[in-house]
Amino acid sequence: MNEETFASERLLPCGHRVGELIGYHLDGFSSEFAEHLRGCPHCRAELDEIARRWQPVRRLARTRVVPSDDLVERTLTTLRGLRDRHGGDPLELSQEHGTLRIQSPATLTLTRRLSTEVLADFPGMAVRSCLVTDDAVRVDLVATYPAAAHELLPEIHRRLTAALHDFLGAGTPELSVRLVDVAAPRDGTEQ
Amino acid sequence: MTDGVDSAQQADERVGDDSALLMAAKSGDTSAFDLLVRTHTDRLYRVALRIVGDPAEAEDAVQDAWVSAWRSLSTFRGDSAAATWLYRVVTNAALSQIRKRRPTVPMDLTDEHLAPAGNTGNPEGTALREEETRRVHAAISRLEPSQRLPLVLRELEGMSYEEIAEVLEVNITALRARLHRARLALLAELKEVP
Repeated sequence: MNEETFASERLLPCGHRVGELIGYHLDGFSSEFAEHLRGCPHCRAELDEIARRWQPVRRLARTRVVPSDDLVERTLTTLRGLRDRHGGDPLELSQEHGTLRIQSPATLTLTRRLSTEVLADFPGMAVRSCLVTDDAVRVDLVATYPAAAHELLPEIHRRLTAALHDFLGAGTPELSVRLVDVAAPRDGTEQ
Repeated sequence: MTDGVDSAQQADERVGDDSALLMAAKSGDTSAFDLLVRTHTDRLYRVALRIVGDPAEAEDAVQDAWVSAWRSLSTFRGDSAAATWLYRVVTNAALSQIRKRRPTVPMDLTDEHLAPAGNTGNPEGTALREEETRRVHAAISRLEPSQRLPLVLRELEGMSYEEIAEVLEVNITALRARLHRARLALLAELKEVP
């Protein structure tokens, strides 16, 4: 298959277009085209080449994909935090000109988003869960070995506090950042 | 829209079960929702990874998707399959991850949780196959999201046109056009894969 072949409008000597053949290969074709194919070397050659090119995609489709072992538990922990506050009192933050009330799901979502953004600068560190308690926000982290997690925590705390402050101003709630787990380095997982 | 190991009857039963679980969760049954999380997180992660191309971002997308699903349970009316609804939630979360990606952060394709199905018993062959997997995955990651989503759902997830149209909320004609462009673009990318 040369560059020209990728032009879907390219006409084969039999009158069929390359674009049709890609669709035929991937979605199946009519009995009418099957009849044509039996007697057309141009379409057969082109379909063989498309099939050869597409083989890696077929193999990728068969590849098994697995998340981290604890993704489900992390998700459930996050959801529990959300439910505990859902429908409850909003987080109340004292500010210069009064009280700022923020519904806890919004606080949780904001904290999760900002944590992810801050941790982009700390390879090997990831959010396990975020919880909004009565008057504070807690972020639990997991470090992938050999990240120097304990040394990084103060800086992560500082950056995340500053990021929250940008949104919430003087009413930024007390933030605690904890390291709760160390994970083994990821490698090509053989399933 | 199955993992390819279910019988048609099992698949039908599971679709019904999932919808029942979502309706139960909508009524306040948190354990029903937790069961959905336990059942579908692997699948949602697979879709997210194939869209965003990065394991850490895919995990974030999955967590965001479940939070979003919980918060928007009231929008599930049972007129679409639960799996379709969840696919829509996770594709939206994955798209959101892509949009907020910092341009300076490269995609980490060396850290994938990807393993070719079947072990050839041949280390060299396995290494080549893993390299091929990474390169095809990278090629898909370079497609525009508007092409990447239908391609992932059709060619990697094996969904029907009707299901994809429902997930992406587009009509079949538009979907076919987008998918056709995606296939052409990927074929062009694949000329780099030996």
